[in-house]
Amino acid sequence: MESDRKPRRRVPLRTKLLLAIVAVAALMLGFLLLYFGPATEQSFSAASDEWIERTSAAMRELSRTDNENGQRLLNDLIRHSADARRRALLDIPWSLYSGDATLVSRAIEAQDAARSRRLARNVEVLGKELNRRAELRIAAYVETWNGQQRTVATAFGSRLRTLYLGLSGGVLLVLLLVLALGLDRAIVRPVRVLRQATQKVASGDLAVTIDRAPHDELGDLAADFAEMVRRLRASRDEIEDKSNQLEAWNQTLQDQVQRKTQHLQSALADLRATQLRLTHADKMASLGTLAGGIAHEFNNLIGGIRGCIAEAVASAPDSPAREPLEVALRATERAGTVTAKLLRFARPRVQGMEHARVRELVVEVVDLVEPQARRQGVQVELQVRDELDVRVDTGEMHQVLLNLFTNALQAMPGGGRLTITGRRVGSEVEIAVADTGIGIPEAQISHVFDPFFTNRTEHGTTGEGSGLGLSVSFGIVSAHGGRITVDSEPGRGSTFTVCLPGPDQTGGGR
Amino acid sequence: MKQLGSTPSDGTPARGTTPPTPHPRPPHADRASAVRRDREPQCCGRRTGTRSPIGDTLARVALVATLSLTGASGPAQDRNGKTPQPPKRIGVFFWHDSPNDEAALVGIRAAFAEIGRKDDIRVARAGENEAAGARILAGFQRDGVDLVFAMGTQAAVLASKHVKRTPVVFTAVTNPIDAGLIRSWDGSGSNLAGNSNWIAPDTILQVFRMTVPGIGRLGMIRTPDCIVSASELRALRAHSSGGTTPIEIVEAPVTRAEQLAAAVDRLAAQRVDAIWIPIDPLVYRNTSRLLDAARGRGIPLVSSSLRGTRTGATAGVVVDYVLLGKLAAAIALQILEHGRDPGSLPIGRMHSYRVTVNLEAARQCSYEVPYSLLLLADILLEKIDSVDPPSPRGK
Repeated sequence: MESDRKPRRRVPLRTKLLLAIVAVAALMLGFLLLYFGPATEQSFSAASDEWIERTSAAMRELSRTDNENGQRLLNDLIRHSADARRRALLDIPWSLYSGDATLVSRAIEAQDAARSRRLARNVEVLGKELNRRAELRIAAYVETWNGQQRTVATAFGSRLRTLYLGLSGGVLLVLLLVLALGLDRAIVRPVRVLRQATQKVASGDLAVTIDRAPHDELGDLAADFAEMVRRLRASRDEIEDKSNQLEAWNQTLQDQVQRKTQHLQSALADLRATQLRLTHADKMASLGTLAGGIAHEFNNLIGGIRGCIAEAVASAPDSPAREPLEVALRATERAGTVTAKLLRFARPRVQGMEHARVRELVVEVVDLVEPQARRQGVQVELQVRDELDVRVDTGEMHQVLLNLFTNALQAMPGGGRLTITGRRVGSEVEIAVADTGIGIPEAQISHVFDPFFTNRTEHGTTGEGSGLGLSVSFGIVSAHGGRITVDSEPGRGSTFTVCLPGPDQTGGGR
Repeated sequence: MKQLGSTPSDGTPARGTTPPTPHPRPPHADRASAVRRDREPQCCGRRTGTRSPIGDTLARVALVATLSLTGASGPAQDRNGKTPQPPKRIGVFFWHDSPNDEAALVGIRAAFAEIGRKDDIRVARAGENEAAGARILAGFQRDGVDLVFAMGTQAAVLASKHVKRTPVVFTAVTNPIDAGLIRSWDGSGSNLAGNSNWIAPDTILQVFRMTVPGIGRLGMIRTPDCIVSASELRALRAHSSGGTTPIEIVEAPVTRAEQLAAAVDRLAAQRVDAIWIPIDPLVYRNTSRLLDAARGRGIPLVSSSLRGTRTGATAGVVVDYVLLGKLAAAIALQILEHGRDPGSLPIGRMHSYRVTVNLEAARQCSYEVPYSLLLLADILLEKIDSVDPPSPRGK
């Protein structure tokens, strides 16, 4: 019946200690009154009796000695006085008085009077001396008695002290033991339990409970501690929830940041590539404009010159000047070819965009360069899926691939491996032409697509063409809406990558 | 001046030679027996078959009373004015200032006054100057004095030398035989008569024994050339072996006052029970030095002179010099009134003596005087006199 139990009454610790002290004092006082009181009285009475007996015996002995001495001295005094008077009478000058009884009587009386005065004076002095000696004797006796009394008192005190100390020590020991046990039960144990609970809490264990707490200040402390632990536990749970939530938020944020970072990095790369392309395109555009203007003007001039020469040759077929004129005519034809290439670079045009299998485009061009590759000892490897197609001006694209293959073979005069890879990357079609040739120095990479740029190496290998092939290819690819890039490492080879819009995105040429 | 056989300044007796007994029973024997009666009862046997002194005295008193009542003629009637004699010229000669000699003169004057004599008493003092003394004595004779009192040993010696016809009565002479004044205590056979302050050695020793009960060793400080102290030493040594406890006397000779303290130290080292101040001028005049040296040692000083007791000795034994003077006056009266031949008169000696105790001296020596001596003392002194008491100088 839990509800029927009366709650224990709370007793403050101070009240407990006060009650314990009062109890100890009462016990000690009771013990002293009941035991030490009669014992002390009896012991003191015995000591006093002993001292009084000793003192009385000493006083009796003193009185007896004084009496004996007094009697003896009085006898001596009587004898001495009689003898002294006798001798004094003998010394009276009898003859002086010639038998005059009055004079004799007067002389005797005078002698007696002088003797009486002397004795009176002696008695006075003797009285003082006897008083002095009596005081000394009394002082000596008092000192002796005091010494005896001190001895008796010391012995009494020693016995009493020993008794007191022994019994008090025993009683005190028992009471202290009881008090210690009470203190251990009332204070030490609850404090120890509280300390153990505190240590658990300190080690992180908040699932502690304190049972059987006393109903005093320590019990209040235990209750406060339990409440504190409960609140700590609630706070810790709340903190854990917040922490988990925060951690989730943090993870999300990190993912977002990572994605944003990747996006930004990609955007930055694209931006840089775009910037590079734009820069390059701008440069190519400028070059194209310049080259196109020059080529147009030179093409017009060369066309006029070639017409005149052709007319001169035709008009004088047997003339000795015919041979130089034919040479000049062939030179103008080559000049016309150059200007035509310049015009194709400056004004690329794609016409007749059509779907084409990339592999077929590549194989057709590879067939053109394979004899040269065989002669140079270059191994050609194709990694192009059959179904990969692209929408291009196949004629122009043939030119592009031919330029790239030719450049690759020119970079591998001593043999190597030419790898053509075709794949779809996102919405684009990527065609990579990789060689294991001499590579391009890093400083020259940004100029490989410039018109008339030829790759000069320290070994003396130079481009064998006019330096317009890559420029023309750049222009064609750009006209397709694509881009052409190069990665190269000197001594290990170069990779030219052509990215073209997928067949679904290709809208038409430029 | 060498004090051969002279009376010391305090007039205490020089006891170089034990005087013969002037009476059938010598006075010193009486005194000794009186003192030792309780301890030596055999002394009483000496009086068997003789009349006791008290009985003798009472017999004399009875005789005087009888003569007075019966109206018998005699010298008393003459002194009562019946047959008055003319005053005599009497010269009193002092060798030096001495309280005891002065006390004796007081006794002489008192005796003459008691019997109504109005003699012409002339007092003269030599101031320890022998030539002056001779002149004084010659003046006495030139003036026709009827009798000369010589006060003290040295005065008596000078008087015997310079006064040949006029009767000379000496007093306060300790040992007149040693002083060369007389040959027998029975009479001088010349113009000299007188009495002595001599005290028997037994009496002195008995007082010393009373002062220090059980005394076994007695120290004595003296100058080797002092004949008085030498005679004292001989006399006491002759009697010190008697009694129930013999006394060994240890002598400590000194020649200067500065040696007195060392002498006390030597005696203390020899475990003496008391130190005796003899009649030796160098010693008794420096009693205070001895007292300083003995202070706190528990060894009392004892003396055979009143001066020694007054100035530092715990106990002493002396005679009554006033009474001695009266006795000398009685001798003079025998010569002046009765025409007795001075040379036929026996030399008088006293029967009585005075035991003197100085309590302060005892305290300074850290010595407690026995009760018996306190009760039997005739004179109890509370303080030490730094100097001699004023002399009752006669006129």
